[in-house]
Amino acid sequence: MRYFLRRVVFLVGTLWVAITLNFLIPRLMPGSPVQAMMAKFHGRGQINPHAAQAIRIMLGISSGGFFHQYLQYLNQVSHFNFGVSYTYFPYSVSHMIGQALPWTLGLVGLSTIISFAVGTGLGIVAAWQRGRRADGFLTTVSSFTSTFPYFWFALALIYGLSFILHWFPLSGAYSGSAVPRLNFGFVWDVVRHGILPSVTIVISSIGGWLLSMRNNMINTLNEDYVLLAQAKGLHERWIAWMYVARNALLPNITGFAMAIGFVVGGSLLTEIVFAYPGIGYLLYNAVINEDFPLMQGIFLIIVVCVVLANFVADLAYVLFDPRVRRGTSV
Amino acid sequence: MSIVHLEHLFVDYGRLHPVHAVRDVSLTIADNEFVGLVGESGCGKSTLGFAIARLERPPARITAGTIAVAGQDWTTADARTLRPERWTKVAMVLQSGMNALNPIMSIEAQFRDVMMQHGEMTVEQCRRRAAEVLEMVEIPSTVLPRYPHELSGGMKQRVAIALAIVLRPKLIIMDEPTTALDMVVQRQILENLKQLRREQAFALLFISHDLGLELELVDRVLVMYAGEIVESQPARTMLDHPFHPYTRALLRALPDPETPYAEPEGIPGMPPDLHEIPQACLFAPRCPLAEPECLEAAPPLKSFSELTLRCRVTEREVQHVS
Repeated sequence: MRYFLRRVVFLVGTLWVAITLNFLIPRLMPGSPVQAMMAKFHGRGQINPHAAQAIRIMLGISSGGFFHQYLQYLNQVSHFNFGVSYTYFPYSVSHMIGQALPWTLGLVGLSTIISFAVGTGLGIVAAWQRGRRADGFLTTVSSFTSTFPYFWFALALIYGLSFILHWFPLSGAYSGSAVPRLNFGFVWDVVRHGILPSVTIVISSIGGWLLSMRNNMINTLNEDYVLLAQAKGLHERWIAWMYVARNALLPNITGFAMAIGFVVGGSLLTEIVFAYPGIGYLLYNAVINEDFPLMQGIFLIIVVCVVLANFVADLAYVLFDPRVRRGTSV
Repeated sequence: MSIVHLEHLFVDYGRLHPVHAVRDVSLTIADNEFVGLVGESGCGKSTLGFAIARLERPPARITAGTIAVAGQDWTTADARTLRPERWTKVAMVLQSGMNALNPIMSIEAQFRDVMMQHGEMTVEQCRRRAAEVLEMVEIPSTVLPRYPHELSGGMKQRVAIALAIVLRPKLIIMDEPTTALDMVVQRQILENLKQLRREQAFALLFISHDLGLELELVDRVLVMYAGEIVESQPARTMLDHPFHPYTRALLRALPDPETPYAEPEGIPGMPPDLHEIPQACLFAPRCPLAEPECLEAAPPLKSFSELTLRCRVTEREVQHVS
């Protein structure tokens, strides 16, 4: 229980720091949203100097002092009110994030889970077969795939499979002509659009999971209790799982939770290359348009998710590792 | 009957430039016999212990000789054949009980593991038997739901011993079981072992570098030097009549509690490089009794009634004593 409370206090503290930084950083940057908005109208005739004030009011930028702005910000954040997007005016930031989030969660979330599960599984196999052919093959291939730049890989896939062979659509999350509805046709359309970006993410991240699991496994294999498990004449698979993999998995659980937290950030380059309407793509658009409220909103969501994922990982750790269970340090 | 019978066993490390860690070891351990194996670090005693249990790990490999356990050939047996024999015939206890237990399983689950995978037993039967063997090593059965990190080092080592006897194996190989523990706990474990012997029949191969400890516990002591057995004799006679100069040196290295000001003596020099074995007595460079002939040819292993000795010089004394 003390462990749990400590984790909760830590969680709240981290969130506060994150929100505060999120408030401060954009305000330390040069330029302002009003200037950015004015620049958009540049070259389309004269702008009345009063327009600046009008834009300020329209965007809800407080004219109060710095501290006043901060309090206002805290209040708004607690109501999930992140203001109005400059780029997608008059849509609110919450609306835009709400639109993009499901796509990212689906694409990157599923890809991350697949990558972790398959990578870790293959890592177990490689370590158990260490030195044999399966290990050599898996280790070589994953060292190779984990080093190539995934946006390049994405472009190669698009060129080969979509542009030349027409097997997959070029970009987007669904066809322009498709009507978003829960029927087989639309779902199939979404799946077809998701395959290439998903493959890109899985291929580029699976090697990391595989290699780290293999290394953890090989370290654990040298433990006395593994040798003794063999001396005990336990079944091979039971040893591989219960004595080696379960112990080797512990460090990877943290990594997995972190990865799940970062899912929300989207896979920036993948989403850009495939023009996939997820958070990463939205963030990209927000950045090139100097859309501060949108950026802030997205950053905040990412930070909150990472912090929450860490929190969940800490709790999950308790399930997997008895050593942290009673709040005692090892 | 003998539980273990080795004939001319050779174990190497590596292939290209092999280290000949165990050479031409023949030995027999009788049923219920406690045998001690002593020697300094790197003499091959652990390698031999692991090879007997067929747990040698690459790059270690058995290059020649045979291992028979309870009449069954273990040298050529494959993993599938050995699996059901393991732990029911030969159990092991390693140096640090700290790492001998799986950190993520409760003590009870680790007992259940061996019992359930070697026979039909219910959870309740397992628990009762586990409590029984824990009691033999003076551990309360309340530790069963606990995890290894919640026990002290001495407790873990005793749990490891309880785990070793739970299937009533014919032989337990203990590789430096008390080395990582302090003197008080060491003493308790020794008493536990003596007590266990009265309650359950098993043979013991006790590997240690502490000859004093061996002499107190075992029936017969094997002295190993540079991969070879150089002397074997009953513990009761060894203290008074050690023959091999190495055994004598080991005994002189023990502190004597009755003469408090006598300094224990070290053995000068280093053990030989086991990459290339010279055709000579391997101990000769460090031996105070070495004669010119010792450096020219390897001494043969000679058996007398209860004594086996590999020394050309001291074997002449054997007749006088017996």
